[in-house]
Amino acid sequence: MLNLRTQSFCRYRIQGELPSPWGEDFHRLLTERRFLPLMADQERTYGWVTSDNLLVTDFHAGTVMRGEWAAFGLRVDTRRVNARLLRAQIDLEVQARLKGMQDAGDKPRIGRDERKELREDLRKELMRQTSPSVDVFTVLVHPKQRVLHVLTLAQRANDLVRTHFADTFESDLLPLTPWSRSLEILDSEARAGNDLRAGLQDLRRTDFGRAVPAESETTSRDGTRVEVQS
Amino acid sequence: MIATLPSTDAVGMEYLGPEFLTWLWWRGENNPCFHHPDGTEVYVHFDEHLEFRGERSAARRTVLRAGMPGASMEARAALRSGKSLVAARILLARGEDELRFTLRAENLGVSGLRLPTPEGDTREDRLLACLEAQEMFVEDLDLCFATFLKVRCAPAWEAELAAVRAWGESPSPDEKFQPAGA
Repeated sequence: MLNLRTQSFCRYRIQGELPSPWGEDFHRLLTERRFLPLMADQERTYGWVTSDNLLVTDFHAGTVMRGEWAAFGLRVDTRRVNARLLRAQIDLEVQARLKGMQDAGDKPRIGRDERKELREDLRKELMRQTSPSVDVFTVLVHPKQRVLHVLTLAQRANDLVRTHFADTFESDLLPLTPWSRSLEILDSEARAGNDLRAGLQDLRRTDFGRAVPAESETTSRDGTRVEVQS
Repeated sequence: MIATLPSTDAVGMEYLGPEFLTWLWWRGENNPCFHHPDGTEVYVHFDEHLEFRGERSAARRTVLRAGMPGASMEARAALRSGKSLVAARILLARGEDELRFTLRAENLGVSGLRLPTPEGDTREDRLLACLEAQEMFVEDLDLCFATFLKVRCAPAWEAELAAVRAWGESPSPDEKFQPAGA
């Protein structure tokens, strides 16, 4: 269920053409790249889900549009076999096989290929028994402003949303960083007759302080906690 | 002229965000009111978290939390030593609405934004109220950034910079009110 009371977000400008989120094309493209559950031997899968329910991939204006905004989510399921558990299972299986060979009077030896095959079989078996971790990252799109918000600051999630968005709509997302936002704002100012763009081109880093070594940074006083890391 | 500027983030321009945040800290303490074109006023106050990073020794980081760190001696010391403000917890006030959030200078990423309790009879109404509040918040943040940019890219920046430096050199509120002999 979409909850926006407390949020973190990164902003992007949508580049290129984007179908109207009210239209069927938009919903069809979301559906084509919808979330599909993990296959038995898959480690990760991701895709679009509705913003209200991570189990629903039925996209239409009613499930996507929230006022002027389109809202949906990128669900990422990841399943990872615990390496220590896998190693322990392999050890047990190897010991059992060696003992079986000894009992049968054979030379107790497991070849490299057999060990590799054993490892892969056990990995697949453990994979089937492992529940995936589920993440959902909400995406808000304002088509008129051509703005997209990803409601997380996690870099990996943002990268994944950008990649999946580009794959879905063939439209890139430009991060609204201080620099890119500056270009937009100054372009807009220039159109209004106040052209400061040359100032941005000539910009040099400002030093707000003196170039002296900090001395008092390890102290703590008046309830202010100070943490200095190198 | 502007066409020569890259449309994506220019390498070497990473200081723009920290400069904005440092300027906003100064503005918040000296002239916290910003005006939208329609006359709406927005007030800025730096709250309970300041994070500085060294420019010359990039790995050094100073984090100040709790107890109004903006007024502390340590915050001024970090500024005077040439460190940049890279993240801060900020309070934006528009009318009776107050929003707290943490702004990361590097990418203008917003975290921990808590929107006002939305009004509305249905869940959908409350959701739309949240989206509206979020849009207003972004407008306010953009107003602050645009105000900075208009000074930063104009000849007026030299005078503004002198004022920020003078403020940085002056005793912090904590230093001013430090008991004699303490």
